[in-house]
Amino acid sequence: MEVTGVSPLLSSASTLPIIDIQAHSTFDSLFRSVRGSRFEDGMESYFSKYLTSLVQRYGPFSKDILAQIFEDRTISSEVLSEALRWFGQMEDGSSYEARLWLLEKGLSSPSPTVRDGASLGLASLDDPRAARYLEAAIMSEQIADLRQDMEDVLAQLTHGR
Amino acid sequence: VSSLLVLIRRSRWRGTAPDFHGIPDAPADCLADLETEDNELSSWYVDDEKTNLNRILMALAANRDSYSNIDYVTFDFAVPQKFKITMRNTPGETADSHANRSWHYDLSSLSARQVVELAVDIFSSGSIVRVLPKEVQKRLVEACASDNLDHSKINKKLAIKLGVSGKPKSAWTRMCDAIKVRFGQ
Repeated sequence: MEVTGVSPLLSSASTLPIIDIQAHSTFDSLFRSVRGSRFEDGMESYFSKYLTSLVQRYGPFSKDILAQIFEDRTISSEVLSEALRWFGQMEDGSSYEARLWLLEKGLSSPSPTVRDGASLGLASLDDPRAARYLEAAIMSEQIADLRQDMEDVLAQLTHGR
Repeated sequence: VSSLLVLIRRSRWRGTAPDFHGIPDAPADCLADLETEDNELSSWYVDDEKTNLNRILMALAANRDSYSNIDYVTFDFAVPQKFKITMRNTPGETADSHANRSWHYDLSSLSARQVVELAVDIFSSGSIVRVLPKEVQKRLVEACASDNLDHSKINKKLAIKLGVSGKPKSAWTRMCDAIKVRFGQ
């Protein structure tokens, strides 16, 4: 799968939709292509490498595209969860705010697997700004051990442990 | 009670036990964490007092590409015997040679039915724990400062992040690393 260049065209408002469509298609294909994959914690994969390179390439522009993908109920929750884990681990300043936003949004997903991935991503990102979103997620979390895991992440963000 | 440890992904073990016609059961996703190769499943012996637990966890963490959470389940060492599962003390493949020699067990010659029975039993009786990424990082730095891990056998990508590349650090550098971790710098 080839990733198309983006920077020169992004300066022109009239071409944005084309870029968005191309980018959305690239992200969407990636998320669908790995359905059924077995991911291991801490181990890079074709998916994690390609995803992080795409997010780096599109930077803040990846936010809206990924938000749409995360709304798509036909995408595997296991894949979405894996993506969120890597959003927390990857090092890229240009996409940082977009990734933080996606992780916070992931906490309210209807899928517990996705909520878990969001919580873990926030644990890796270790940004105290996410604390209030975690507090809200803990209040509404119905699964006891997932709630406990979120509380552990919140303790880390607020008390540094 | 001594136990066996298997790495898992906690989200696959969540929820209440499904009940299939009144028989205790477990979520099917659990089986993804009990994936066998040549009908063998890798596990680690944890002593009664869990004195070797952290050492095993760090040995396993050192095999990974990045700092990540560690999710694991421990269950009674006697559980495999209940299902007539053969256990063999075989060399593990981590950067900790003592752990590899002493505490690694393969559950071998497994049948599909035995794996399912094991999953159902572990689901109801096992203890699931998560260590968060930041804590893993801290403990890994400490483990590298000890003599437990052979730096040349740590995952290459992780070794770069840890600042250990092949040859062991000097005692002075290891002490500085441990102080940095201790005081969060």
